[in-house]
Amino acid sequence: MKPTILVVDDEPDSIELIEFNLQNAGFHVRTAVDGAEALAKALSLLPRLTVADVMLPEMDGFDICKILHRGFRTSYSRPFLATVRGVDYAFKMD
Amino acid sequence: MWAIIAAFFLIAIFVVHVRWAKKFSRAIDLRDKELAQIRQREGAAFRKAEDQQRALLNSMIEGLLLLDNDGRIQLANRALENLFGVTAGIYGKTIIEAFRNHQLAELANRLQREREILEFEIQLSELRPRWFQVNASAITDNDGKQIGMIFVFHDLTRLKQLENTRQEFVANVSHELRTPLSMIKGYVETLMGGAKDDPAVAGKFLQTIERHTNRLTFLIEDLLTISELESGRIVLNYEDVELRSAVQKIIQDLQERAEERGVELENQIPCDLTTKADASRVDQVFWNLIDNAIKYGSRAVVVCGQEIGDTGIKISVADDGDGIPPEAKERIFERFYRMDKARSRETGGTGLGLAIVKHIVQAHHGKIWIESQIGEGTTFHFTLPGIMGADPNPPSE
Repeated sequence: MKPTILVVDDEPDSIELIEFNLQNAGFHVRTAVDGAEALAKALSLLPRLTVADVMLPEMDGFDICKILHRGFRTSYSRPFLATVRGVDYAFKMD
Repeated sequence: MWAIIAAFFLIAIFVVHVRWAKKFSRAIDLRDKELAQIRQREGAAFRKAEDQQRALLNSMIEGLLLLDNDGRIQLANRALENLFGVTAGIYGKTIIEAFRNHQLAELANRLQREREILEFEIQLSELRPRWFQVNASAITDNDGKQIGMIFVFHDLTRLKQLENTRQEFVANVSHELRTPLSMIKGYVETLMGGAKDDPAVAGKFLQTIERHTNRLTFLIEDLLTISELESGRIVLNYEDVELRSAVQKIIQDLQERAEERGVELENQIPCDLTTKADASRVDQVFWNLIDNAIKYGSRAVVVCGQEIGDTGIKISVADDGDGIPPEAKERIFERFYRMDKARSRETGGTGLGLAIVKHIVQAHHGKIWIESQIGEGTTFHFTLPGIMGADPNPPSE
């Protein structure tokens, strides 16, 4: 069975791009457009990897990763943050 | 005989004494009067100097605070009272009693050791945070012994706010530029990585790339416009603009887009309404407002205008869309402010349209405001100079 990856982004073109590339690489991809949807899907799908945009309305990528990390069933899902802002966020996640 | 001479002599001495006494008492009176006059003059001069000093201190923009050696307040000028919202009742109190601020009390303590502290910044965390730059110095007597302290407060709040606005703007601009650019790069890399071999996928991806290049182009155009408008160097070419035909031209340009969305455009501006303004800038205002109204879920957009007095014209662009919530009314003209991010991306706005409109209206010495009820549509009103009241060369703002 293909591993599942959850892609969270509020920019539809960005989701389409990541989804296309991950599917071609042999993954099962699910998508969400905001934090609430992402957390609900993460609970039901238990993805192996969550790719989240940092700049999201209401709940940002860090919050999603923190909540996933704390949750008992979702804590093994590796977070991955995608951002157009560059490296200034890279150090905040530890 | 001797007795007569002695008596005569005594009388003579007495007379001389009386005369001298009179003369002396007159001299004393005169002296007293002069003394009183001098005192009065000096008193007036002193009061005048005191008044001048107070006027001088009170006309300072910087807040001034004078403490004695025990750290008790001796003097505070009006600017300081205004800056900290205190009254003259603080005289004789310590800093901590008067201002309840530990940073300031700490500064006074440091001053006992260091004699002079320059450009110390403090932040007051109130409802609206404020920043001050403080210069503090010990006052010493001739022997170098400290007899007091003086603090000068310079309000940095406005500067800090401007700095924050600038930083926010730069962050916003770079985010808005990077988003489409990273999309374009991502799609191009994906195409080159093999997606180009599938014509259906390639076609779709190319359309997405084109959309993002357009977004970048519009954004850069708007950024250039707004920086030109904000620079204050903008030159307006004032000419007579017939408003009905100006609006008609924009409506024709936008007709196709309006029909796509099922929006009806109506021009209700009377035929003879003319303004003295920069025609191309006025076009831009109409374009942005009508385009905005088409985007935001309305079925009909009506533009109307009327003269207000001899000197101005009021123009209204009304739609019957979803309306603007009260909290957004204040912010809608801010650069990159968006009520609904998802929808504005869909409609392709740059987030600068209304900021540009506001700048253009203000450059024409006009006002712009909004009337809106949730669910009942939005009306943008703005004023332009009338043909009579127009100043041919008003200073640009």
